[in-house]
Amino acid sequence: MTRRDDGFNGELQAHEVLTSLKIAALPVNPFAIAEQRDILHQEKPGLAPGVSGCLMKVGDAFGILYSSCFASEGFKRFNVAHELGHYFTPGHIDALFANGQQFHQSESGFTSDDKYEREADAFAASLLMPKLLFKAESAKCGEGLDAIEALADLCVTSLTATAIRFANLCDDPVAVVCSKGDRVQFAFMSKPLREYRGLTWIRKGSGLPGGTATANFNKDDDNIRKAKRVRSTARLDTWFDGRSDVELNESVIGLGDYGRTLTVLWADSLPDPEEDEQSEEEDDESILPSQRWRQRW
Amino acid sequence: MPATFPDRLRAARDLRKMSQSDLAEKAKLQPSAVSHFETGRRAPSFDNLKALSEALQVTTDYLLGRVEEPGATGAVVDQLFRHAENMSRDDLDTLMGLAEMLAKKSPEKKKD
Repeated sequence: MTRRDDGFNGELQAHEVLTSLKIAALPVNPFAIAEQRDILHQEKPGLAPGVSGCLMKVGDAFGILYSSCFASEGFKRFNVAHELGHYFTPGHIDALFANGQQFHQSESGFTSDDKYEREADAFAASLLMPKLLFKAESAKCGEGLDAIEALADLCVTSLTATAIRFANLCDDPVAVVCSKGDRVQFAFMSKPLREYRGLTWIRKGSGLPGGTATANFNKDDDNIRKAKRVRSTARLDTWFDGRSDVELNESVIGLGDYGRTLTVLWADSLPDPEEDEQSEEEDDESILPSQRWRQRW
Repeated sequence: MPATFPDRLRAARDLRKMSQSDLAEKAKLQPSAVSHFETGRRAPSFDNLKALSEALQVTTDYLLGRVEEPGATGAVVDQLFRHAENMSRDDLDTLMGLAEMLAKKSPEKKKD
């Protein structure tokens, strides 16, 4: 099963839950969904590093313990929605509670390589930001970081989760990059950008391109801690190779306590890609430069 | 999914003298879902498991094959600690507190 299938399963399950509960407006409240299913939920400020939450089963009762290590309401909601993903998605029982284990600890936040964590992340994103509602609101919210911030307010989701959902559903060429220091933590590209021939996809762990607004921004920790922002432009080939005459917008914002930087790269449209033989070869998935960077859904 | 789940589901349904469609209706599942679970073609979610256990008045642990009696539940505390190597003492205390709350909440099932 591919990463795209994991995303599809998560999206499908979230849609079924929303439909069965007749939820058709934003924001979606995961705490209310847990309560509707008689699932206890409890906040814990300092769970073990990297642990975002736990789903626990005791007898026939279920509980969710979720991390609140960041003050963001969106972060907490995503963690609860992620645990609900484990609860509602078929096939997670055996994987999560193997050998009689009574609880499962999660690592949400789009960084895990585990299939079940990715499915739960996809479920959480789809539950809190349902595709149709999100796309309808996106059309009213402008573009780039401004749109992502407006959508995050509307959905009560974190900037990072909203940015990833935005990139996944956007019909324009958009990429979101999460970075720390001079390194990329993760990146997501919209379909039009992924399908644009001749681009090299940004790799997890790769260095930020020198001279960009993001690279300069990250040189001062205060920018991140104080959630400062800058807006600039960058050439397409600076980030992705490809054509050198295409300009992208580059908005950068520090994510405060999260200690990372979010970059949104976008353009209204892209010109026809330059023809070359190598681009033709790269249509073969098996030789894509970074399969790890394929979209997860 | 434990290999025993399809068998346990069928056994519990026989115990309650319910047809697959009766059970599906009572558990608010698609009519074909119970058949798929019993043949092992489809794995349930926790939500499905809970709905089935409530409709059948047996425990989820029985359906999962962890206990032999339809109304019994498995041991909790020992397993909780055994699998929590990576968590701090404080985290484990919090988990234990939640586990105790859940244990009180877990409804009694009719024993047959």
